[in-house]
Amino acid sequence: MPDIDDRLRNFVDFLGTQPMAPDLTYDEVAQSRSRAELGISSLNILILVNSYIEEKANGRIALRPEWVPMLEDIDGILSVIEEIDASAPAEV
Amino acid sequence: MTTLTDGLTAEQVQFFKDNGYVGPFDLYEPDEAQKIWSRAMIEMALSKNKPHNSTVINYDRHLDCDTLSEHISRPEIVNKLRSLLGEDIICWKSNIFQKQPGDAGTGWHQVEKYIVGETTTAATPSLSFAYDRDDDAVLQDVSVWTAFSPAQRENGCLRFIRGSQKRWFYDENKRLTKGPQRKTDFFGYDYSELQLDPDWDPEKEDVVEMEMGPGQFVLFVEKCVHGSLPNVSDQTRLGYASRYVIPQTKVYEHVDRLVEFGDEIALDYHGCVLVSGEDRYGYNRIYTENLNGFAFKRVAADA
Repeated sequence: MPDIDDRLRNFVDFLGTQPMAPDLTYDEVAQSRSRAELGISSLNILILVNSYIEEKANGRIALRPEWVPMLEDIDGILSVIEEIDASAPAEV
Repeated sequence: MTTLTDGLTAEQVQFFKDNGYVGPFDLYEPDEAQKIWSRAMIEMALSKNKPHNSTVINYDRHLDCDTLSEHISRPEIVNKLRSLLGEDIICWKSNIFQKQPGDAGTGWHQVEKYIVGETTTAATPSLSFAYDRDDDAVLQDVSVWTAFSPAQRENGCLRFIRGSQKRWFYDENKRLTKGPQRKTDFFGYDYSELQLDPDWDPEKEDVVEMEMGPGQFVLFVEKCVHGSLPNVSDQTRLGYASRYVIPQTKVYEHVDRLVEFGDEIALDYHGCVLVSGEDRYGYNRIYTENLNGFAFKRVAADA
């Protein structure tokens, strides 16, 4: 299992590539507990996670309804990202 | 034996006429309600056929979100509407009501023709009732408010003033001012500006707090004065209101855009959904499928 800081850094790095994501530093995300504190709406987090799936998992999985409540807090977002990463094809 | 899809009993119809609301009724199991809303959220976020691009005006996502398209014509809902509106029923609007932890309550309000915002006026209301009204025989508009989360006192349940639909406490025809949030806040408008008697204190009236569990719904007439409590909990309250009229009603007859809550949408997407019976008037565009091509269901008379 990746270190929590690595997961957080991975998430913040990804947000930095998304035009619709607010400009957030690693420290700002680390100090937040909830999605709302990041200034990301409940619909936008779904769009962002879907973009992550398209980029990292290449369409092998789809957004799952059981993930939606998890995306309300940072720990849940990181768990979802981890699940997506586990489904992603290995990089070559 | 009663089932969830039954219509209202004569006692429930009378209760509605006396009080302006009736419920709550069971529709989904609590876990199922959560899953349905999560599915709807995904569909809304990823929709390629959004009716409009506003996230502030969150109207009518039953037109592009298959899960909500199904929801609005659930027989559990439509059969109860039939007891109030008769056989022929159209769904003309839906709204999402999300109340985050810390959000204020929604101030008391009372509407009939939906003259809200900056583009609807007394001369150009959202709803025109193009028929002779006999309030005892036919109702003009019934809202169905479904809870997709707990909706308890602490996280901002709906509340009604029972019986208040029998007379006007507010002048719906007056203009509302968009201003800073205050005690009587109505989504950024101060609805108390429309109060007919400045000395009337709604808090001293017969207030009913409508607590509901996830998956339950309540029916009410918009003329029944209603609002909601603030969310003082750490749990978001989620409600979805679908609104129904009889096909004799003209919807947005002279309104081609809505300017509300600081945003604007064009109504060229708009259409109604026939959820029961027939449309013998042709006043409104009727969608038989949503913007994704998903067929709307019409509840059969014996469903």
